[in-house]
Amino acid sequence: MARILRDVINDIQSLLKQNFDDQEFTDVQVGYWIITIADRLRSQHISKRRSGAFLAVYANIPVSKFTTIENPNQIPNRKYIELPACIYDYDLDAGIRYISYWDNTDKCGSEYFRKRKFNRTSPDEIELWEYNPYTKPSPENPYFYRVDNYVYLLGIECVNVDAVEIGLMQILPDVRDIDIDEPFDFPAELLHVLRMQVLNLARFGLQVPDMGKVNTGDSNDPASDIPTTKIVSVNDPVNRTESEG
Amino acid sequence: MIQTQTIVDRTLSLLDAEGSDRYLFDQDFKPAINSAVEWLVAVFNSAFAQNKLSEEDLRELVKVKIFQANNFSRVKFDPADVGESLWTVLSINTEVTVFPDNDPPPLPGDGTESVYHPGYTYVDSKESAKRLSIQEWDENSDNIFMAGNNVMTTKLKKYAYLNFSDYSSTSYGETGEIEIRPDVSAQFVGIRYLKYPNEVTVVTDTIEFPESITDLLVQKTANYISFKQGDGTNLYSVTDNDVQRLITFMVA
Repeated sequence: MARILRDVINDIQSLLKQNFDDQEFTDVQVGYWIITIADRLRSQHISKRRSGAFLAVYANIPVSKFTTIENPNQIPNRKYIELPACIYDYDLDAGIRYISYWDNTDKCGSEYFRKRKFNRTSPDEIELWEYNPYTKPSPENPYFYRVDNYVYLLGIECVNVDAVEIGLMQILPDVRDIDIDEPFDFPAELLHVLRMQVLNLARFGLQVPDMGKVNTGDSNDPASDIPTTKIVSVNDPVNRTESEG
Repeated sequence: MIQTQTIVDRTLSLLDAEGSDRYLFDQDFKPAINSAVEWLVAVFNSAFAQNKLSEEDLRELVKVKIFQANNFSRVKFDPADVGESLWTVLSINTEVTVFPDNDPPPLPGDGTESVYHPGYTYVDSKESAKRLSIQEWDENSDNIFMAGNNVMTTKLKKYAYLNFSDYSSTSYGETGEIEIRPDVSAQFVGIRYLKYPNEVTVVTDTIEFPESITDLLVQKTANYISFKQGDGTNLYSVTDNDVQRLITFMVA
């Protein structure tokens, strides 16, 4: 049976309560800590493994063109898709494992995602591909580049592509959306590391501010350090020598 | 439960007035016992505020009743409806299962009136609401990490309640309501509360406190009676010391 986030939250809450029984650790607070740390560990884990365990596939993402512009990253008259989820920002956009589309000339529909795979590029490299017939963007050799949450598609300007399939390495859902009773999408072998790091984070959080140092208005200085005579400025006439006039 | 007769008999013994008509129930014991009960209520209030007393010590007075929140997610506790006065709220439970198992009925009228359901028994609840101060209530509504926020709608949501306030106006007739967040409009709400102990009227009445505090009640009753004996009596100082010691044991 897969582990669920509720158990991880309850485990850490119970451990924290051992030493801080009057402190309040809400499920959301501990859940947020867990997701924060889990995303980091998960991202490191994914980058080290060639595995499809955490691949999320969206099979029918619509291809559009901007007609109205609401922010500078929206470039008109270029085909684009919007990322359906937040992804890890790996080097060379490796959070996008693949983008592909079905070429209508091939009617064998069973291997849809393998038909035309988009190559990754960037806005400053596009021109370079244009001058070589073997690399020039075309329906057979399409490219994509990422700008913020938009992925622009090159080479399919003159063909009708309504939708693409995309495989992503996406981050964990936000604490507002996550279902804590669903299987927790996290490598089981790293749970002990997660547990330890969340406890460290919680321990740090509990020290800021230090609850033992409430300002009561009392002086913490030893009585011997408190001056009992009036402190006089060095500029006071009584401290001036005659030569200073 | 403590029998009033037990308190009377033991106090008579302390006063060395067994078989005497010097102390009468209506004139001496009844007001002294009722004063002692009220004094204990005040002491327990203070102990509750400092989390120094468990409500199990007052199990005879712990009640759980089912209400249905109005359209503003508020619940009114009307002693006339419930048949007893409220001492203090122990917990507010939401997402309640009731017996007989039923969904909440539609609210009457325009939905501004919460409903007390004497026909339903509290069975179970998934959530308990945290009590917030007025300042916390005003500041927490957008903070997902605090109880009583309106942002979290998933299983991670945490309910909170604000104690009784009078929201009445010319267009809203309800007075003295508890408010609960996130919204529980028209849903069942379980209120676990302490009933205010009944006043003793006749010597056959019972006092709704656990038998474990019988001695404290006897000492305090004798202490009140000793007031009439004038200043500096031996009974006053002895019972006062005993009362202080017992209270220290209970709530320290």
